[in-house]
Parts: sequence; structure tokens; C-alpha cells
Amino acid sequence: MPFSRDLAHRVAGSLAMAGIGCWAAWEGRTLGLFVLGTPAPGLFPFIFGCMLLVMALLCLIIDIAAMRGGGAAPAVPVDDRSGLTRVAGYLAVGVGCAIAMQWVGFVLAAFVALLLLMRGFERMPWKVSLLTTVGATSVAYVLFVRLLGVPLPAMPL
Amino acid sequence: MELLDALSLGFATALTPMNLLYCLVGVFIGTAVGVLPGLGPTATISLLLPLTFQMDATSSIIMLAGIYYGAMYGGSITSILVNIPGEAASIVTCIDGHVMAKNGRAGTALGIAAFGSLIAGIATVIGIVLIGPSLAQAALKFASPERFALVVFGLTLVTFISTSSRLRGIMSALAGLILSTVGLDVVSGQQRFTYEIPYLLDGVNLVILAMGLFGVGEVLADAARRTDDAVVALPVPSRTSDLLPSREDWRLSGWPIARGTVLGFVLGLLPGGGAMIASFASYVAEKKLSRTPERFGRGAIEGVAGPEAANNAAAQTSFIPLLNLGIPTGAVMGVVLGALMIHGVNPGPQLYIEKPELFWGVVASMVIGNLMLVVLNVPLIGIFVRLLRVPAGLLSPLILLVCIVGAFSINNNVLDVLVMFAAGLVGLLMKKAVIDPAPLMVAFVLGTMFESSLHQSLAIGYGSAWVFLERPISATLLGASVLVIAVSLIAPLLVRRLIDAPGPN
Repeated sequence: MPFSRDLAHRVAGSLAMAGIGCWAAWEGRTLGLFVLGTPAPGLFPFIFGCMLLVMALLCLIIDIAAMRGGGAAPAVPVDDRSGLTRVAGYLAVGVGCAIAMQWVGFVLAAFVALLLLMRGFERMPWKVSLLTTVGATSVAYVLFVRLLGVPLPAMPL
Repeated sequence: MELLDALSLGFATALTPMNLLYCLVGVFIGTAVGVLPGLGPTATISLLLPLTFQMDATSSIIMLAGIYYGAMYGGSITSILVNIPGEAASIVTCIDGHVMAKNGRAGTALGIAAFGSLIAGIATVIGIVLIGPSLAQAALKFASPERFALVVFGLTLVTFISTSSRLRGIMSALAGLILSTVGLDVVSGQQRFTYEIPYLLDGVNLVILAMGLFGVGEVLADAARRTDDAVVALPVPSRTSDLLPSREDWRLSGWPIARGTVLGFVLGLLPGGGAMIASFASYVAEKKLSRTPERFGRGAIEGVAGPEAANNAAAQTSFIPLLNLGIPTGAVMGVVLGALMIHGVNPGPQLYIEKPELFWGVVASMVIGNLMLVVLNVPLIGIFVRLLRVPAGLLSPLILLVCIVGAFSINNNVLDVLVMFAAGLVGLLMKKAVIDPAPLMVAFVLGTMFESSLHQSLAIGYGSAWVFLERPISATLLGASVLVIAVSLIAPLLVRRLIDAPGPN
């Protein structure tokens, strides 16, 4: 049901924020709160962490109350499985491209990454994917490497 | 510097061929970005920062400013013709603008939006010219305690920029404050949250964070929820004369444009104000002031003229606190601050004295940019609307490529790209959890200033916090912060009591 999934996301977000608040407060306390009466490195992380924890718990209470009461929160469209696959694909290809360009150079890494995304995950027609990939890679190379002098990794040949 | 000398210097700077070209590129990209839903000015300015590395600081800020106010124009095109706001500040334009278009008055709606923005843009520049030097003089009196108080005031207002609830906005801002403490402590030099990772010693890079949260985050959010719905745009006016409002339209729109300009001017100066809040405030004000409020929502031209003037005025004045005080009033200004820092420019009161060509050049370029936008938009509306037909499946991979190149080019470091993707994933998860990342971004920038100015102030006051209350400006700003917090706590209770109160209505 879209509605309950939306609220579940909100609850998860509040829980994650509460976790971050706890972690920051704990680390802050470890770093020390005061030195000779003046703020030590841990004071502000501790204060911000505690405040975040309180806010997150307040949000959590409101979200849970909305969940029990049938909900005041607006429903949002739910991602389907293909959407999640696409997100994972974008992340994997993007990170892969960044790592691979150190070994195979920017041009080849960008070409493969774009083609994978357009053809593999976006299901664009082969002709459109190839033409756009070649065009975009060439423009990026000319603009960034030739015109702007950005030292993008070159092909090791 | 005399005002006329300052303006002459500004126009001499803005009218150089290269700066004219950068202004044109900025407003063109800005309009295109404004038209495309999803990709807002924050993401675009972050993505295009690497392109400005080779430019001088003045040219780059002229281009980035053009993108920002160009996006305000572009946003109104899709709001009126498609009923999809291209960006947040154009949401209210949908209400009456699209109804006007459906009633066969698309040209008038587009025309009044463009001319209203132009009038507001020029009036705002006149306002900046009049108050800019006084603000800069006042800013010269700002020492650490005043700066700290201003940062506190900014932090209390920052949650107003959140598109989600206030509480979730506060959560986002607090997360940004925590993130700003990563790296070496400004006083002791002790490592915080670095876990012996050398990359984190300098803290999280502002530009990388912005590119991740707003650029990659937007691409991932779009990939998660791709729809194949075809965009249906109402017919684009074919003749230039169709865009010209009639005498009656001008009569109805005159005061809304004037009021929208004043509202936008003031709200743009405040941290947490900005174009979106200005446009909403203008719409509400016009509806309240109208003798025929029932026309609103049914194609009232005042509902287009006022908000469009307000959002453009706010977009332009938001540069003033940034350039004069070094305080970003919103996420876009946070990214522009990053651009200034990359160019070795420290915004603040000294900027007006040390780099007058930058300050006045950017101000003068706003007049030129606004004129360019009206001249550009009249013949190119059809082309901009066609941008909506470019499939997201082509656009998203290309944006991702720009993100990768941009992040890498900052320090020529692959780790930056990986951190950008991590920030992008965080941006996506925040959107899913209905937590707006914009307060995080602004609080992240203000957090660094918060700590350093507090320590400097305490040093001035020999460790005593009274230093903040002994100085009139800092005491006033801290008092205003307390007032904002008190009002935001009491106002909802009062509203609820009014709603619950029994009465004839």
C-alpha cells in the first residue's frame, strides 16, 4: 500500500537521524566537552547530536501517531522494482566509471558507462544510445580536457 | 566610492564581451534548467562549477547569477504551459498561470511573468545600488560577536527554506551542523570524526557535498521513479504581440508587481527567505488584498504578476548578504559561496572595498541579464518547451557524466567522486524520508562559521559570553533569533486555538 510505505520511509528516516544524533553525542563526549572552562572539540558535536536525537524522537512520535491514526501524511508514488534496479545500476556504473578511469582512461570509461546506462538500464534504442554516447564523450573530452585543461586520466596507450 | 562611479565600474565590467557572453550563457542555461522539472538551480550551479575554474571570479559569479535568476524565468514557462513547476519558486504560478493558459491567455500570462520579472529585476538593482553601500558600511562594523550572532540568526531561519515540515527541516539542519564538525578542530587542531582517514582531515568539501546531494541525488531520485507520462503542453503563442499584456492587464498587475518586488527584495535579504517563500508570500498577500479574492485560482493575472516579480527580486537580493557579509541565505547561495572560495575570494565587508568590480559587475549584470531574458524568451519559448520532450533516459546519464568529471576536476582525486556518490545516496534517502537536504547544506556552511566566530568572540570577551550582549548589533540579532524561535513555537498553537474556537463561521 503506497500510504504505509511512505510512512515507513519517514519512520526509517527519523530512526536514522536519531542514530546519527546518538553517534555524534557519544563521539563528542569522548572528545571532551570543556577545557579550562572553554568549549573543547567535542562540545558542539555533543550539543548538535543531543538536539538531533530529541528532534528525531519527536518526529518519530508524530510519524507513529500518524501511522496509528490512519495517517495525516500525504501518500507519495511508490518506486517499483525496476526503479530500484535503475538506482543500483546508476550507483554501480558511476562508481565503477570513477574507479576504472584511472586504469583505462576517461574516454573509454565514460563511453562504456554511458552506453551501459542508456542501453542497459534505460532501454534506449541502440542507435540513439550509440550516437549520444559518442557525441557526449567527445564533447566532454574537448570541453574539459582540451578547452578547460582538466587533467582527466588519459588512456594508457 | 560614489554611487555613479560604482555603477559605471559595474557596467564597464559587465559589458566586456566575455562577461556579456558568460551572462548570456548563464541566463540561457538557467532558463533551460528552470523549464526542466527536477533539475533545479542548486544542482545546476553545483554541476557547472568546474566549468568556472578557468574563468576569473567576476565572470564566474556573473554566469552563476544568470543561471539562478534565469531559472526563475524558465520555471514560469512550464508552470503556465504545462502546469508543472520547473522549480520550487514557480509552484504558485501554476495556480492562476495555467488556468489563464487554458482560457486562451497563455501569451498574456507568459508576457506578464516576463515583464513583471524584468521590472522587479531592474527595481531590485536600483534598490541594491541605494542600500548596498550602507549595508557594506554597516557590515564593516561586524566583528566576531556580530558575525556569530548573524550566523545564529541565520540558523534559526534556515529551517524556513525546508519544503518538508519545520521539525524535519530542523533535523536536516542539525545533521548539516554535525557534518560541519568533521575534520580538524579550528582551535585545538584535534581530529573529529576522521577515524584516522587522511581524506577527512580537511572536512567534507562543500562543492562535492552540493554536487552529491543536489546533482547525483536528483538523478537517483529521478531514476527511482521514472514515469512514461507524456508531457502535454498547451499551444505556444505564435506572435510576439500575443505576449503583450493589454492596458487592463497592466492596470491589474501594476501594484502586485510593485508589492511583489518589495516583498522579494526584503525576503531575499533574510537567511531562510529566498525566491520560493517570496513567491508564496506575494500570492497570499495579493489574495488577501484583492477586492475579488474569488478570482484567484480561476486565472487572476495578479496571481502570476506578483509572485513572478517576487521570486526574481528575491533571487537577486540573496546575493547581497553573501557578498557583503559572507552569509549564504539558501542552498544556492551556499554553492555560490563555494565558487567564490574556489576562486580565492573571501566574501564579506572587505569585498566591497577590495573587489568593487566583482560586487558592482555582478549587480550591473543583473540588469543586462534580465533584458537578455526577455529578448531571449519571446522567440525561444517554443524551443524551451521542446526540452521537456528529451527523454529522461538520455538526460540522466549525461548529468551523471558531468557530475563525475566535475567532482574529479576539483582536486583530481577519485575519492572526491566516491564521496559525491555517497552524498548522492544520502540525498536520495533523505528525499524518501521527506527530509529536505537544503537546510543541511546551508547549516553545513554556517556551522563552520559558527564555531570559528564563537571561539574568536570568546577570546575578545576574555572567555565571557557577555560579549554578545554588550554589543548592540549582536544583542539585537540574538534577540531577533529568540523572537523567531518564540513566534515559531507560539504561532501554531494560536492558529490551532483560532481554528478550534467556536464561532458563527
